[in-house]
Amino acid sequence: MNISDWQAKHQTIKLFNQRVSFIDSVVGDKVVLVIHGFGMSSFDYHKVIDELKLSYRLMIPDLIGFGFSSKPTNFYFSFIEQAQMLLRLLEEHNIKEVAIMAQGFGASILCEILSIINAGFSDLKVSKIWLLNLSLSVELSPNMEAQGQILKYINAGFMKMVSSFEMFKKCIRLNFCDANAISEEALKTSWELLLLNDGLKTLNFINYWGVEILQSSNRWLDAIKNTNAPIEIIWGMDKSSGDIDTPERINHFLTVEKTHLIADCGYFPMFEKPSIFIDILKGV
Amino acid sequence: MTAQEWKSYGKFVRINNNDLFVIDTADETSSKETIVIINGYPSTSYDYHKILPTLSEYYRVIVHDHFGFGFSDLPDTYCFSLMDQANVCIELWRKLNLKSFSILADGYGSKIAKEILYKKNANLISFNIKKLLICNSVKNDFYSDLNTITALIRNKKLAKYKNILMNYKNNLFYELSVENKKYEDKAKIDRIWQKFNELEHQKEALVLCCYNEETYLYWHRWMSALKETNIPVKIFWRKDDFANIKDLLLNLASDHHNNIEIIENKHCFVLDREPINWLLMILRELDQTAYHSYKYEFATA
Repeated sequence: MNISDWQAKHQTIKLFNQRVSFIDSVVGDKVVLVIHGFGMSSFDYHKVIDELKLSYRLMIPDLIGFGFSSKPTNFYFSFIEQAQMLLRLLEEHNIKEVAIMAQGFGASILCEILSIINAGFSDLKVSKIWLLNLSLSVELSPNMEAQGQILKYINAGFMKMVSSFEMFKKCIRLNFCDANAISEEALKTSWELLLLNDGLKTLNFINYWGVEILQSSNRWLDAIKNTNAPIEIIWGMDKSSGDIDTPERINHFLTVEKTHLIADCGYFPMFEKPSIFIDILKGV
Repeated sequence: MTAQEWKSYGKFVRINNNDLFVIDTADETSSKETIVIINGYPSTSYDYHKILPTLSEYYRVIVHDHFGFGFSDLPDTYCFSLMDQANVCIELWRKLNLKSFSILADGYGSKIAKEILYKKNANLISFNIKKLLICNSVKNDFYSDLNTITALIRNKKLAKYKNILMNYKNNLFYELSVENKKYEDKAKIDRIWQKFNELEHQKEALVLCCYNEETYLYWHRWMSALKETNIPVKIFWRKDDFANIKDLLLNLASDHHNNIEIIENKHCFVLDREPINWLLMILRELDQTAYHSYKYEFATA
């Protein structure tokens, strides 16, 4: 799918002085809010949308700084603000109850949403949570070396990745168990989405993410521990996913209803194993 | 006034399963207007004991000790974050059933106040905030014994030290080290945790660095909170307070807005040395009637 076809599926709304681009499949009672990982966009889910929208109403926003949404280059748009933006987006669509799927840093935004709800600033009901690869990896890492390593890996990885399209392709493919699982065209679209509106400059704030995660992890872990929503883990278990220890840690820390570990799958289960991914979400 | 006497004036309000020490000079039935004070770091409500009797003649004054300071509890999972402190303030005001009030924010409290302002702008809270006064009421040398800590914080190498401390911020750290047999004994973990809590200064360093980090993380958020609000904001500054001047310049450098007024504290009044003058300065901006009546009362006395 090329970038203009992809854009045609999006809607735009202005929230907190920022342009938010999102996919809303409109039909269905059960709403699923999908929070993509950092550096990526709603495009991650293009392979599974058509199938999943038969069962759920999908809300897949591009976070501020990514995809088609606006990309502030001169200030840091924090996790807290991303969370507030998502809550407002749901509010604007009159959505009162939602299931949330989050990947990577998206899980931190999910936790912030839960913490906003806990503090009584929102009446949103969260009915279910799916945690994808790299969720809470930093927050739950057992010691500072591990924590630092993950952040370093992410920061350095990103800086390397965005240096050129060839490098981008190489780095993204490294996150796949089977490097051919992502097509050349999909890579090109992802890259264009990253470049759009001076997007690379947003990555100047990459260090701030780490600081904010370390700063807030206490609050976030508290929030997710206190939620009543059933939690499921979906994790690609090939070592290309970067982290295969965290599912166990999440299980140790939270009450998890189901853990789906996908063999021979890297960081992007929705890309690499779309049919398994769909089955898990549909509860088959 | 001794600390115990001060304690007897206040009450404890239960918030997030911990006790928060609150001074509330009137109750809901009072016809007086309300003013809430958000104190700075590392002061407590006690700093205001000299002005409270006078201020409470005109206002219902509410001031609390932040968690971890004064008579308030030190929660188990201690909140290091200004965001958390802001949420505690809001929770307290909800519990006290406040509807409409002015805010007087002092030092670090001003950052908490800006976060509250942001939440107000975003329509997350329903309080009617009448005015926001931002000041720094203490002389810099007042907490000179903290200078070692200040020096430490300016030290670039502190980041590492802080990281070590951060890892001990709650006993979760031990729980998660499942592979490490050393920490299997629960009683032992509790003992280590308790030991850590006894080392007060570690925490102090930690709190301050976290505040500093949040200051730059959320700088834009808080700046835009000031820009976007319609609530009258008054910012006091004095020439011997460098940190404040920097903040002020940043304010001035951004667009000028009518509702923000910047007032010089010309004689550099501070709360502990010239409480009466300091209070007069505040009252003058808060309420002219109260200001004149107090000034008259003070002159005749």
